[in-house]
Amino acid sequence: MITHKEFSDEKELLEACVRQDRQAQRLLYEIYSPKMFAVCMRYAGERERARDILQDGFITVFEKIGSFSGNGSFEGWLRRVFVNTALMSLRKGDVLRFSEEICDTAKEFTASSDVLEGIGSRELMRLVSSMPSGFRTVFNMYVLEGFSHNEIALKLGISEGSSRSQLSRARQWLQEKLTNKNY
Amino acid sequence: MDNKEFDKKIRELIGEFTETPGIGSWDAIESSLDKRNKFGVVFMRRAVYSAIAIAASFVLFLVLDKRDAGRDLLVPESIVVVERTPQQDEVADSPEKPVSIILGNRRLLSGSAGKPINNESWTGPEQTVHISGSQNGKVTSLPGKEIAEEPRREIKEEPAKNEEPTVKEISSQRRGEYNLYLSQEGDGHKRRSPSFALSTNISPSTSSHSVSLMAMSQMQSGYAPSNVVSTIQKAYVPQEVISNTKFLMPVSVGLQMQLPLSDRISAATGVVYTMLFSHYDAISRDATRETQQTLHYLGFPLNLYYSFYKNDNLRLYASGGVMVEKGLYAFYKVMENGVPDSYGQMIDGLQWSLNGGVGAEFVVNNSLGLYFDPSFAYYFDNNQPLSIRTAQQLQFKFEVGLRFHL
Repeated sequence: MITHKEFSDEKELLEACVRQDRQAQRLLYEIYSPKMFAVCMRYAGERERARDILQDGFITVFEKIGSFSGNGSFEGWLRRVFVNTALMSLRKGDVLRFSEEICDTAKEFTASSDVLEGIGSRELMRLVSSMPSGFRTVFNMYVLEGFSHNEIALKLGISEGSSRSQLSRARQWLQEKLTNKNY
Repeated sequence: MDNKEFDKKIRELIGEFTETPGIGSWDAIESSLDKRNKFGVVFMRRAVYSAIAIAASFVLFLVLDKRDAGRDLLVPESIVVVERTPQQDEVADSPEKPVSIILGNRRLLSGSAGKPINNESWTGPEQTVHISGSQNGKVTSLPGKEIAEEPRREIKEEPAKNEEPTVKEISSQRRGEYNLYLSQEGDGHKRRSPSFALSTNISPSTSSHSVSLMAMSQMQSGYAPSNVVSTIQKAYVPQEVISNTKFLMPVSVGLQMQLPLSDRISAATGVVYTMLFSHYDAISRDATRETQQTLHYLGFPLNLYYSFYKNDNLRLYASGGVMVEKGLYAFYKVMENGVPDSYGQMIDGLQWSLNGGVGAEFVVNNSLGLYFDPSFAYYFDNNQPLSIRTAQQLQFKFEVGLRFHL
């Protein structure tokens, strides 16, 4: 993956980033920004906000990269930084508003087996990005990041029940859109 | 298709999706990184300059104040044109005869070479000159009640003559030979004026005290689950965890106004801003989590002061009172397996406390005092966020500050 002649492997690249080597930072950005921008898009729902999150996320990464222990995947660490940055940004913008009414009316959801057939990644991304912010956040955290409801509740300051309901509603919302080919 | 299968398919489809952020994104990041580096340097430079400026101002203030105190400051240099015109026989007969100069309700006395005088040491009649004030650098009128037996002497704006030194000459040329004393008439009023204090407060005795939040949560069942700042313990206590909590030194800064009620008793109120720091580490088999909690409080104290000793350089007093504080915000900075996160929440309710202690104020000059107030404070259990105050309700505090007397 590392293609630049000055850095033979990822470890060397990361060490250069710790030293605030601007060339290394740029290379790291070029390698990971497409993946991380997709993460930002999923949470932000709009391109402009996603770009801001991406920028804040990379600044945090370059400031805190020294705290990456080296154990485990760097990409995993990076992804967590961006998810946290996205959540911080959404909190600041008061985007994370959850309706208790929605929680009360949440229903169990069972998707039809062919609902995802024929849909491409880009269309699905667009659908997820266009979800209401509460649904989108919980859906992303649970389905794509693997957080538990307990963790989601703590991170978002909501109850576990609310997290479950939001997820259930998010799935229902997505199924309706997929079924109606409304994307 | 059940939920798990649905989620899995979603992950497969968009889990590794990539999207190019667009042109200019890196430039924005790079520019922001540059700004941050510059900001650090500029901030440090400004902080140093500000510190130097404040220190220089303070030193200048002290120097000027001392210089003023050491000379006949009641009459500005520009209007010291007052000339004593004694009779020839007085000059010849009694060179040490004092002149009493009264400005407003203050009286100045001057003596002669190497022999400062006072009222007690002079047995003969004194000469009195009254000066009511000045306008535009000139003496304007000379009313006043004579306190000596001899008739009042007129003050004239005349050029200095050789036979007798002017007040100006006394002050500027013969400093050390003549002493001028302020009578105490005006001081009583001054000491009853309000004073303002700028202070900082720390609680050094418990700064490194460690308390386990887990143990505390078991002991104190009064914590509501929704209590904002039990968040630390709720959020970051995984199973089989080794944890440690440190409450760091609380820091307060405040502005206080003190109003004298009598010669010895005064009441004070003001506003105090306090920051409480806690640090929580949790290590489990597969995770490390560090949480820093910062609580911000704004307090309104009401205290009574009783001065039990007072001289020109020192004032000793006892104080006691009550303070109510409103929690403004709880801020959390979390580092989980090296991944940073931060968030904050509002704090509900009020924190009440009682305090009492003793203090000493060292007089720097007529309008400034440096004071030290060691005291104890008891913080009531008002269902506030976990902090050093909830862990140890009786706190030793040490307040240091500057008191400005008007």
